[in-house]
Amino acid sequence: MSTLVRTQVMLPVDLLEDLRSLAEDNDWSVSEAVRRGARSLVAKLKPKKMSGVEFLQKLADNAFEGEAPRDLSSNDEYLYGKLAPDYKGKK
Amino acid sequence: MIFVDSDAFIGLSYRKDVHYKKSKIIMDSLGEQDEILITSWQVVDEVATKLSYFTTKKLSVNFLNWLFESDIKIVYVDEKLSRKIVKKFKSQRSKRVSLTDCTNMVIAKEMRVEKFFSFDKVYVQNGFKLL
Repeated sequence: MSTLVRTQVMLPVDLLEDLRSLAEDNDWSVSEAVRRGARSLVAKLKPKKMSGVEFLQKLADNAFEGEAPRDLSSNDEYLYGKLAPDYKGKK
Repeated sequence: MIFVDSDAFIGLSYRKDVHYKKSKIIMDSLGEQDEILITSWQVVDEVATKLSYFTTKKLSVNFLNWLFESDIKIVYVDEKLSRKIVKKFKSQRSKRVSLTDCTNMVIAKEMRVEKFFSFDKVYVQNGFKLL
């Protein structure tokens, strides 16, 4: 379990009463009830990340179809050497 | 865990690249293994720059956006790691081994990664395996 940090939130009275009642019915502390609610909300709304392989698949599906050097992937001269674009003087 | 190098990312991003078909075959095999993928910020830099220079800026930006929307782990170099990288760079006999290659190898060693998704023989020469 990760470290617990004390924080302060403002709740409407009726919501707090419902929370207290729910906590009592389930043998939870009010803090535990809030944690469970927060976890549920995060799980529902936090965007899920695509897997690494899904990312690679997305790259392949959207691969460039125009003209570029065929050895672009393996030739570092395009990046650091004489084949790299010279942008001097260009905006 | 598998380290993904620039040539694999670019190989997949350009349909006429010499490594496109092989990269796709490797990628398909990864899908069955559910492997965790890692890379370095230096690799991200190389790929985004090359794609922008030689394909389109849009594809380069898409690469970055999609990467950050994925669970691929990007490793960033701090001072302690950079000293190990310099040591690795100095130990290479060939002047064709880049500082980025050394960065990737040091990260792989630190994270106990044995396999690279790459076509660069330098990794094999340094005791790693290619997919």
